[in-house]
Amino acid sequence: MLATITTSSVTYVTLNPPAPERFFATWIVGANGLAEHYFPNDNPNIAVGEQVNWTLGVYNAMSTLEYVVVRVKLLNSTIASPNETAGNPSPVPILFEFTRVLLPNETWTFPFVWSMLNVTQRGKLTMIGKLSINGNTVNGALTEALLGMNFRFVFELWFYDENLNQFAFSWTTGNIRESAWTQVWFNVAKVVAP
Amino acid sequence: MIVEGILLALTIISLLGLTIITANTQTSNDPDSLAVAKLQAFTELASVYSSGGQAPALVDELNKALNLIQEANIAGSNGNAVEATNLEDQARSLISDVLARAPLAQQQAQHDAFNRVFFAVVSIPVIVLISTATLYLGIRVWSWYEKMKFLELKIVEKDEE
Repeated sequence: MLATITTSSVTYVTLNPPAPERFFATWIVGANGLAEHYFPNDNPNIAVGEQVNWTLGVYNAMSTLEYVVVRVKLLNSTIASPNETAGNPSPVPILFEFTRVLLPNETWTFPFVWSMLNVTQRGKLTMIGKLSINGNTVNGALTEALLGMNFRFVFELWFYDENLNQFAFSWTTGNIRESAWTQVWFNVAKVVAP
Repeated sequence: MIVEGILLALTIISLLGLTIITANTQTSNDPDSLAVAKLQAFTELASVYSSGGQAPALVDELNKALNLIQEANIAGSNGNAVEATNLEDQARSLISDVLARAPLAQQQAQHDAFNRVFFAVVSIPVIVLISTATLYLGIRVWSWYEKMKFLELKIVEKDEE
């Protein structure tokens, strides 16, 4: 009897291991594929027309098939960042999106090559009006910052929630709300007046 | 008069049918239906994976369709409507293929899931039986070995006497 109980317990535990933690991860690396050299000559003051090469990465540890969207946003230092505790994304329009269906445990990397095509100066405010992202032009009064300092690209990971029937920014693991996003700061090099 | 009435009725019915067909075609070609179709394709594939199956070829096809949709959106926003429509049509074709092949993948996944559960259900009692028997036999062999040793000691003691 004791032998039966012991062996049954061992068999059950072996065949039903505890569920692994479910999460997404996002990251950005520089031109050489490492977490360094994010800017040409390591200078975060980017001039108009100067090309910047990054690589974005997403890892799906949700153990299920996931339909994900990386939403690119341009912020300055005063616009609210995504709030992980509340599960809220940044309250600015989306500049660009990258979409993909990810297999369980799949890592997805893709290039993010950008440059500023138009920057205007209005008093002390510097406004980025036109960007090139992976060869595609993005127009509009995108974002402005004081003296061209502390712009940032924010990359938010959204996923399709089948229960909500819409894309969601955050998920819950063990009563803790989590989200995946990352950012890189940069400055606009001093604009020379025409 | 009656013949004219029948002809008029048939004409109205034909026109109605044509209108419905045209409306359906327009619905299936608009971007909204494409957005619904891509989500439906994902949901079908997600159910394959959630039941333990795999369909990497279909996922790859859906990813190609998603890329085409993104390219179509960019072409549309750049004012290139013809290219956008062309890319959307290609994406629609890929998604239709995924939707057509997904049920077979789901069946395969369900079949595999059944086999896994069946194997687990059968293997648990077999493993328990073998383990129990091994443990029982081990204890018996050990006690037999102890008895033998004890007997050997007794024989040695008797010989010494």
